Amino acid sequence: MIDKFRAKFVEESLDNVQDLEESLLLLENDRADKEIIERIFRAMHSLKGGGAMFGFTDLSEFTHHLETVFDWVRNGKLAISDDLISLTFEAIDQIKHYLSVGDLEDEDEKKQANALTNKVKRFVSNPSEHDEVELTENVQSVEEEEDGSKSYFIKFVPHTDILRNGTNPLFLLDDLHDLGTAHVIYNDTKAPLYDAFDPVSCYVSWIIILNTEEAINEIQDVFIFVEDECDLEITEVFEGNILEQKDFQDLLESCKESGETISSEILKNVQPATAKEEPKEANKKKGVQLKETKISSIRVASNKIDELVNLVSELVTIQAQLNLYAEKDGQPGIIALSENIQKLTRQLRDNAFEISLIPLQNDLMRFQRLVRDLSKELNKEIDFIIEGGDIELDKNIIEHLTDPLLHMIRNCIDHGIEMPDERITKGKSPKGTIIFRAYYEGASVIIKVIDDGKGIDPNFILKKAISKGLVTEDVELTRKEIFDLVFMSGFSTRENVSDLSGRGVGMDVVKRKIGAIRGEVSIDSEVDKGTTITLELPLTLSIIDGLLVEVAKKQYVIPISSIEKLYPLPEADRNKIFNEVISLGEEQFPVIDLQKVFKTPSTNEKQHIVQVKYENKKIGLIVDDVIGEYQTVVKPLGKLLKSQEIISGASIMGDGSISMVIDTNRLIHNNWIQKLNK
Amino acid sequence: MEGLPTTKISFKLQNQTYAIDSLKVRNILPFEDNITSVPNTETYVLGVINLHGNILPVVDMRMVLGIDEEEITRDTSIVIVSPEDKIETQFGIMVDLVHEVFEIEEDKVKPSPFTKGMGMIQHFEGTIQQKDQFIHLMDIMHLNSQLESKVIK
Repeated sequence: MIDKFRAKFVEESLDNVQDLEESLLLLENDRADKEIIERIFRAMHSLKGGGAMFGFTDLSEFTHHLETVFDWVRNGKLAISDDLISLTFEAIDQIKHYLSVGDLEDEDEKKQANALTNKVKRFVSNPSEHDEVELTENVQSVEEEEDGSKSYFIKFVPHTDILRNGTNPLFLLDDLHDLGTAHVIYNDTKAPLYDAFDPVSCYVSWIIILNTEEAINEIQDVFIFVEDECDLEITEVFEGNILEQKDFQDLLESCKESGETISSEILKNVQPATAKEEPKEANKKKGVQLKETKISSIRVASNKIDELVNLVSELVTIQAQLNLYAEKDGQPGIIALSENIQKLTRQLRDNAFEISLIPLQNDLMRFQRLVRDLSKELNKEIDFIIEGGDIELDKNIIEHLTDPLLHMIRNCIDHGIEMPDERITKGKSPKGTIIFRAYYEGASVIIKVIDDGKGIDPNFILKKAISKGLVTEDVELTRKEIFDLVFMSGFSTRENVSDLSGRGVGMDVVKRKIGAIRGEVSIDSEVDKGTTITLELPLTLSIIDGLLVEVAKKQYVIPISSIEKLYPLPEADRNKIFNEVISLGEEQFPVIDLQKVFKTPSTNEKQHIVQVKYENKKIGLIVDDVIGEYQTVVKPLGKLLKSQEIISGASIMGDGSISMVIDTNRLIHNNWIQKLNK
Repeated sequence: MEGLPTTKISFKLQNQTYAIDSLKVRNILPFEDNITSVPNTETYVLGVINLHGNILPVVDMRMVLGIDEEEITRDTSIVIVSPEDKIETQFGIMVDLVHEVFEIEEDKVKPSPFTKGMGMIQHFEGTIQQKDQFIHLMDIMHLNSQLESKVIK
């Protein structure tokens, strides 16, 4: 049980840490922003508190020191310096470490942690002052908590027979006192004269003015067992502590004298007394807003979402079967039903996919951090600009995207952006820029990483590729093809392997990883102007619109998104294929015989050409038959078939049989490489 | 753990009996002609099957062990194994005959006579003598990593 809570705490803390990092990056740019400092402080405070509660003692203690530092900052005793920010980043890494391993056991790690703690402590060096700070901090935090408090007017009128059930209304009042500070006014005017007095009847009612941080439902909970036995009114009347307001005390006085009962309306008129209260008010509003946004979303374990998407995918498949059956059957009732189900399924599918989308934003934090740390380390000045951070992608895609993107950005910083003085001699601003831009384009998401660094010379790439034996010397390549050479394995443009990016794993790994999520990478560059790397990614991984074709009696799916045109291939036209190029009408394009690719015995049933896009070329795939359009759920083939590049997955057909989904880009690319090698 | 019985499932290939840990076995299916071959794969990968909506690869154990091919009979079966407790890691192995489920005490296991392994299997967990026959214990994790390492190459 406690493990469950711990896991929850870690999960929430990671959010806090992220918030912390984000705030810190903001703070670096705007060092005077009180609100951000406040945010940092709050995040640290919850880490500390939660840590102590869930047995992360080291974490709690460490964060405590850090919190102290920021308390000084908050109170203006300490200015924000580069050192402080760097140290805090370091500290955040340490916090992450604590969250992943719990309390430290390894001696070396302990030493490191101690060193860091001492560094933190040094910022608030004077020990006597240190104590003082702790004191003020406690007061501060109490005050801060009060910031979120509200005052409620509670009118509690028990029915006369309430005592018969054994209820003691006084206990309820005690409970209210536990929630915060309360002012209680009793009313016994209903009590009869002595003769008529029934000792087991309740004649008293109360008005309670309560100041508490708890939500209104906490107050309602107090009365939960007596709901039916009393008249109850709970109204929020004041933001903050009404009991301390002078207006309220005056009002109380006057009511006592006149015998008038206090109502929620009167209390609502009480205004915050002094101007001093106002900034507090503003703070409060923010606090409240934050809380509201938290409630508007729920945390769900990601495997549950995966399961939901899986089930929906399954449903889509079954639905397609039903459609087929209904059409064959021809009964109007069934057709109508199946159409309705189709409509619902589509909505359900869209909904489920939307749920599994998450914004890129979450990942961008890490990149920002990377740019910051790395540029400091290399003494380069870099602006990192993010556009389209709110673009949403399937979480499975994002998971596979982080590493390649990190690698790309690292490359930009390490190889792309020049040193400041070098930039000045080139007539550029000493500060380099890396733009991260994401946007939708049709059913794909485009991500560009653009730097204004030194760029890559295509001739250099070509020479390099030739010297490495990747292409022959007499090969003629377009500009784009030359840049594509960068993605071939064994190609690394840097002579000296730096410890940062040029570790031999180069862009080919990026290409492979992006390919694994059915994305495409391309690169373009101009010397001294900069480099742009473009990623084209599908919105979702699991469902595609495909064209069902047949090759050697087996069914394959070609994604519709890559298809240009379909051509019939009558026998008479077959002799127009010469050297794997066909001329049809005015058009001439290379063709690939899928029977050959799949190494099936050649038959004479090649009746169709499916023309697909490959980069900016059009290439025909010869298939036996085209069966029709099919919306299909792509399932992975499993680890053992990963080496299988030209098949991106498989799909279960209506009758339970399996058809392979062809990755046309891979297929053509592989074919092209084979030709080059020949 | 010592002496505690573990449950194994034994199967036959040619005239040898092998056994794997029953906890790693998810399903046993008769071999039907419903394997969809995948183009351009290693020869020992027969193809994929559809098991309850999941697509699982099937490997031919004869080829893995380097034994001669034999005709498919009524007894030919596919044993679905799961090296890790995840559906993505599941795959099927085609064997000639699934023999029996039995319990064996850990201390009855003797070192395997195949010190150099067999085909792709580099080592066996051990060998048990049961009545007049030897049963060679195979580790599914090892099989899995052998298959995977081939793929990565």
